[in-house]
Amino acid sequence: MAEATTETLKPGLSIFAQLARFWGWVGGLGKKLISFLMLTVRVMEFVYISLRSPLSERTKGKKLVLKIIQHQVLFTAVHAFSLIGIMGLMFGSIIVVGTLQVLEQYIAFDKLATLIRYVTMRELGPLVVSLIVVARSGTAVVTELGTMRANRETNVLEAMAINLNYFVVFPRLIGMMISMVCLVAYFEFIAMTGGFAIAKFIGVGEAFSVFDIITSVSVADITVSFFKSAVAGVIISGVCCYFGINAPPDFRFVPIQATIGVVNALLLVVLANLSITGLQILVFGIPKII
Amino acid sequence: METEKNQSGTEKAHGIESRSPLAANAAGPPQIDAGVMADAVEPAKSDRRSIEIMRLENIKLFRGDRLALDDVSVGIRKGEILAITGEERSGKSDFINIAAGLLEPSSGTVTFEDRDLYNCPYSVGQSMRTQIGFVPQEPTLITNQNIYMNIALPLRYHSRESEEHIDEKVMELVCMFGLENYLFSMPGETPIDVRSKACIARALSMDPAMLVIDEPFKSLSENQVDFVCDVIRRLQEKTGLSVLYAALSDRRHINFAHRIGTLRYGRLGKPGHTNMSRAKPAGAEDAAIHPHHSGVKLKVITSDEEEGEAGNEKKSEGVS
Repeated sequence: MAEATTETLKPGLSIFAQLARFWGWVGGLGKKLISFLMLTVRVMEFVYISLRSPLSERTKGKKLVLKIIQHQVLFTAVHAFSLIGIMGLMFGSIIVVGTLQVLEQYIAFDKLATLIRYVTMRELGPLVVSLIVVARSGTAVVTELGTMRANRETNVLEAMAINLNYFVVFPRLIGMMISMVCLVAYFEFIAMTGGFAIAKFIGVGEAFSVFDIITSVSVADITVSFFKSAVAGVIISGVCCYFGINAPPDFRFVPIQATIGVVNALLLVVLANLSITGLQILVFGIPKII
Repeated sequence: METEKNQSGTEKAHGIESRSPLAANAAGPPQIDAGVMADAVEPAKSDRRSIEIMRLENIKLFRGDRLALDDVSVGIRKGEILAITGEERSGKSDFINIAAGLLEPSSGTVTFEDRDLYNCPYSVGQSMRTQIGFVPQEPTLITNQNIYMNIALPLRYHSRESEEHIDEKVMELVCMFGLENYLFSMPGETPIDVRSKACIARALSMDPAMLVIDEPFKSLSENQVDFVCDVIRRLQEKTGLSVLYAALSDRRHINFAHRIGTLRYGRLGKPGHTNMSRAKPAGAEDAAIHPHHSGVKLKVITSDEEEGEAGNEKKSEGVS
């Protein structure tokens, strides 16, 4: 009798236990979601304050700030040109060759230009470049600022009445934004032209010219691409500066902050990309490809 | 016993009040300690304003549950060098950071030239900070800028002077501290004493009214300490610069100050005046000076003694 009772109760308890675990998991997920939302709000506030800081500082240290912007553009964009070029060429050849091979089967070559510029310019370009910039410059920014914090350089700057938002964060935001816009344009150009060059080289889609695509680029494509890359630039620099400048003043926390900063920047960039895609569909409608 | 102490304190207070404002200056901003060592009375507020550049009033600072600074009050006079000494973890750095405008106290007020350093509009606070030169405990320079650029940084940020004028000012400081050979070296490539001197030069680049230094001579050799002390003293005499610095109790260079106060367990003893020219008398009573100071050639002038020396106006001004 006792055994029977145990047997009948076991599955019941197990269900409760599983339900409890499930609710615990849901609760944990909810907590993480809330903390992520809170973080997003804090980063937005931080970015807003930093972008507003030139108003409070007026023309203080204008040359210094311009120099830091130059350095940021040099590091994020100019030094990454070869890497972005190679990546653009590889992604472009995958997209162009793949698309040409598929469209050749359906004899739908007239849709080729629309498909390639849509995929490259509106979606893949900003996203791929964002990922490269996060990995390359995002980590550098968190580490640099985290080290400055651990080294008490930020304290010294504050003691000299130097506004950290203006002197440290603002130039990085602007520099990263400029770099992202330039890199995305460069990536897209290399992806489309280089992709076609590779396709010609291996003998696919010989009937097509790259000018068919370049001439079909619309203002909407450029607007979306520009907007996505600028937003990504602000998000990457904003999140990375936030985690760098708010790092505990201890060298042990620098790599930890770098990891957290990069992960959060990646998440936010992908989310922003998705949101802008949704917005673009609302504004421009679903692109008619086929 | 307590009553007797209070009575004597009141008598001293009357003594101070009856003197001329200049003589009252000599007695110093006496209400220093909220605890055991408070035995004097503050001068009238109007007098204080005219003689003090900075006043820290009833400062309390909590570090978690621990009270790091307990009701500390002290005034730094114009053209005075005030040393705050104490053992490790006695609260010196917290005190210095509060005075430099870097750490807001849990309670109390910090006034700099009669304006509250922490409760003021942003632009006012920033302009006050430019008047306070700060030298951190570790010789911290901006690592991606060379020594020249580090010294020029505050000038380039705040002033609208031409590059030539900035260069002139920086070179003056560089020569003053003997940094000519390291001008274009990066901080990581330079010896620690060079970085220390560069930090002091940078703090002086904006011609501050007050210099706040946290353990300034920690990373300097004895010769270098004498050299830097001499430079600061000359500057102080020339420009009327006020200096507040923290130092460990057993350091030789505390006799560089006009007055010394000792922090013990977050409480500040009454700062006593020093007289560097005379050795400390064997029986000199010194509530403020830590026992570790006994080896230092230093005399602390108590309020009673000051009354006898009231005629010495130069000393009472705090400018030696």
